Amino acid sequence: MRRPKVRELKQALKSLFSRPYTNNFPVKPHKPYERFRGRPYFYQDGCVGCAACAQVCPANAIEFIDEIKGTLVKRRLTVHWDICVSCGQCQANCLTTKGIILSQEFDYATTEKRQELKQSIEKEFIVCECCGVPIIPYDQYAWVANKLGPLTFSNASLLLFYLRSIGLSLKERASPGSRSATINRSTRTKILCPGCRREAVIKS
Amino acid sequence: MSHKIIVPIGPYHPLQEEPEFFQLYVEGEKVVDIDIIIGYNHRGIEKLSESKHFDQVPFLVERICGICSSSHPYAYVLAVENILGGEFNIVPEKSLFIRTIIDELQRIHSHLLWLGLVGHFIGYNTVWMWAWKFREPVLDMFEMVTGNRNNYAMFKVGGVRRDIKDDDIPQIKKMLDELLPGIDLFHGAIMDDPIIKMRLKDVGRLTRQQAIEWAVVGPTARASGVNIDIRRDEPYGSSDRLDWKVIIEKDGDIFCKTVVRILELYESISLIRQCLDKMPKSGIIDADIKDIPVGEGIGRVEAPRGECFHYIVSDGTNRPLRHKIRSPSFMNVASDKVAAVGGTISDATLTLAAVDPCYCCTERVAVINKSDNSKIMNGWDLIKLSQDKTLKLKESYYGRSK
Ligand code: SF4
Ligand code: SF4
Repeated sequence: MRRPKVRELKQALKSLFSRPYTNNFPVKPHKPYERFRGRPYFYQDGCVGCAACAQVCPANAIEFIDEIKGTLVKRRLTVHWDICVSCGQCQANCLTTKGIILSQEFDYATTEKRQELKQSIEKEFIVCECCGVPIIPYDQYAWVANKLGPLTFSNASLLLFYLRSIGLSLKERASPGSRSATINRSTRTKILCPGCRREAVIKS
Repeated sequence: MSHKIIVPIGPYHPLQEEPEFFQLYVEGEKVVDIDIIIGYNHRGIEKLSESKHFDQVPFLVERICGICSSSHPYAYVLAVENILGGEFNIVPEKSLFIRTIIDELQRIHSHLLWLGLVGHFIGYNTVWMWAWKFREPVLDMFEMVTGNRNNYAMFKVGGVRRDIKDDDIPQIKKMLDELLPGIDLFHGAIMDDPIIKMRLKDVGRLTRQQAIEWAVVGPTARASGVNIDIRRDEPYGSSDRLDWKVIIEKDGDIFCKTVVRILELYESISLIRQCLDKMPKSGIIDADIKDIPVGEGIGRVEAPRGECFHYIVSDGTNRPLRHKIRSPSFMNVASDKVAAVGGTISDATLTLAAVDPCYCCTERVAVINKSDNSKIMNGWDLIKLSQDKTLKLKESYYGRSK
């Protein structure tokens, strides 16, 4: 009958002579485990702007907007930390695996508005040199060209892009909406959107 | 009728896992009837699920409940795998073990949480503190293996998302070893503490016949002597390859429900250990399923509270056409209608909590006098009532002076 008391007493004594079980949190920062899934961050260098992460995010926390800024078209990728559930899908499905990476930060508390809890990066678009329609982010085109290697020869625009990137062809940059005059034979040596490419091939 | 008082227990609170509204009809101390109204927190999960890709749904359904946040995704992936030809046919060997480990770890932390709450309700706040203390390493294990303490994001159609590294295994085993003395402590406290025994015995009894009639599931049913456990009846994961037993008690009172849960803690620990030993050292963890064919499938999982059921219809696109979910508490909560009636009002909180719904709701219980609708007590008063009863028992047992 007295056994329970002895047991409780033993626990009590043990607790009395051991350090507090709780952490001294704000004073001593908490270090999560190595594989902790925390706040995701975009990395300008690793990301190519393909927006695959926005497609797979179950919480729709990643938003992408393609907009015209002066003479450039930019894709703005934004991760909204107030919506993010730290699931890690974006990192797991990232095209380059280095574009968005979950950090170990667990503390989302802020004194700002929740709308301010976000991070954005911008990626510049290639626009069609004939009709000025945005085609694909530069970096993503470069990534594809690099990935394909010799196979880039099968696609004229891709090949041109590749030759330019290694300095073997003239660098020129079209601006969005700028419609060039006519499509003729020389148009084929430009980076074109699929529509213009088709037209150029047929007309020449 | 004039002096019959209605005690509304309940709440609708967005933080709650399962908001219920209990209206107790009491005559003096005695509960004569109880009304249970649910459905306050309709989040539209099933509809939402139909707008997500098959690969995104696990993240949604694991947020149905923060405590059994691996049972729902598990039942969901089982349902989808049922369409694809069954879990055992497509999921890689290693994933089966990882799935069972996550499932059992979750059972441990859920049962510990429940034990703590019961301790709190009967006025043993020490038990409450202990339970939380021993639950902490379990959550740490989750953080180490899955990357989060809740919402594990592990389940995926055709496998799991994260591997358990070989380096982690000794540490998990060590943490499990450290957990055992804690559970022994609870086991001892429940089995030989006369006060706890007096307080829980014969309270909120659900007989075997009643349990079958009210179709209760999980530990609530097993405490009443109903021999059901999905892990054995319809094996999933690696549960059919491991050595364990289903815990059954006969009496169906809260004491039995507590014993069942404590003994299940031992079984879960042994299951995890066997999994860690038998798990293949290497191998793929994901079958890389891309397309879900047309069809319908069901998935059943033994969640800590009982059978969790998911039903999926696929029309060949990348989203489910229909997703039906039935969670265990939906079945168990109804049984309060027989379990709580006839008991005293100070036992009511305990009985309602014994089926293990998420019970933050007691915080806003109110006792209202029916004749003039005046509030007599709030939720804390009811818990206090329950705790006072324990105190009285204690005093009469040990003598007033102790
Ligand atoms: S961690 Fe998950 S919720 Fe957060 S941005 Fe990435 S995919 Fe979306
Ligand atoms: S590269 Fe990665 S981070 Fe960048 S847009 Fe694509 S998926 Fe997202």
